Parts: sequence; C-alpha cells; structure tokens
Amino acid sequence: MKTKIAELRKLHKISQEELGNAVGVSRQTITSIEREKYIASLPLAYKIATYFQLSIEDVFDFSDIQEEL
Amino acid sequence: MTLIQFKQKIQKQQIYYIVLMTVLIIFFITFLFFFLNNKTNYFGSGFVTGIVVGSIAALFRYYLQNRKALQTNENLKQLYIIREDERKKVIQQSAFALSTQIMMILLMLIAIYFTFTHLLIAYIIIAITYTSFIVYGLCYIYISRQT
Repeated sequence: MKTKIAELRKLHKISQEELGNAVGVSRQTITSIEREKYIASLPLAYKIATYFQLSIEDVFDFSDIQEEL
Repeated sequence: MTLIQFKQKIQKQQIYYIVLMTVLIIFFITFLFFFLNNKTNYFGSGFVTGIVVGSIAALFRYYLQNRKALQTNENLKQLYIIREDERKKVIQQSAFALSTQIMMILLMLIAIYFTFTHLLIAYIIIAITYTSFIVYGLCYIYISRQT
C-alpha cells in the first residue's frame, strides 16, 4: 500500500526512529511501511495519521481498494 | 495493547516469573538430592539440569528486563516497542506457521521411508504427526471461538 509517510516525515523533519518511538513500533516497521512491504494495522495507521494531525486517507492511499469495490 | 495495559501485563509477568523461578529452584534442589543418592542415568540428569538451569536463566533475564522497564517511562516504552512491535509479531507468526508446515511434510516423508525399513519408528512418527493435527484442530476451534 502506498503511503505519504516518507514525505510527511521529511516535511516535519523527523527520522523513522523518532516516528517509530512516537507511535510505538520499531524503525524497521516504519521502513517496511514506507517501502510498501508491510501494511500497517488499523490502530497503527490511526496513530501515524494522528501523529501528523491528518486523517488515515490523507496518509495512506486506498485507491487500489476503492477500485475493487 | 496500550502502554498502560502493557505495564499491567509486565507487572503480572514479574509475579509469574518469581513463582516459576522458585518452583524450578525447589524442583532442581529436590532432583539433585535424589540424583546424588541414585546415580544411574547420567544423560537424563544432564538433560534435566540443562533444561532447568536454562529455564531459570531465561526467566531471570526476562525478570531483570521487566524490572528495568518498570523503573522509568522511557524504558517502559522501549520494551513496549521491542515486545509489541506489530510487524515483528506478524513475522514471528508467519515464520512459525511456515516452519511447522515444513516440519509436518518432513515428518510425513520420514514416516513413509521408515514404513519400509523400521516399522516401530514409522508408528512413532505417524503418532506424532496425527497428534499434531489433533492439537492443531483443537487450537483452531479454541482460537476461532475467541475471535
């Protein structure tokens, strides 16, 4: 799943480690989400979106799922 | 799991660890006492000693790790990330599921081989395989009722 996490991190000038610590996951998990290798759970997606003060749809790209519906 | 729930969980764990370590130490002392009076099975005694000492060491390590985490919020959060990282849990579950499938296939192949060479070993392996399937079925029913 495509995300805007990397862009948002750069915008807020925070590292993967800092974001991971803030939302309670490891740096590797953030890396995997950014590289589209791992899909975050709903609570984690919510935490990440809340951290950037955005909605989940603003951070995660659901266009593939929307096409299936 | 929230950080507060995690803190409560590791506080409970600390009690379990202390109880388990005490039980294991008492068992080990009793075992040593009997073994010293009846030195018959050196392999068995070495095996039991290894398992018990290893278990106590592992429990003590986790006890110290939890104790450190309970001292400050920063340590607690670090341990939370280490133990509750969702990707790590998914990897562990997937790796365990895959390795179990591989082991089951290997066991079945070994059982087929021993059916023609050593029937007793084949029976033992088939029994282990069937027991694993039954345990899997029971776990499946238990977990599906929980979720």
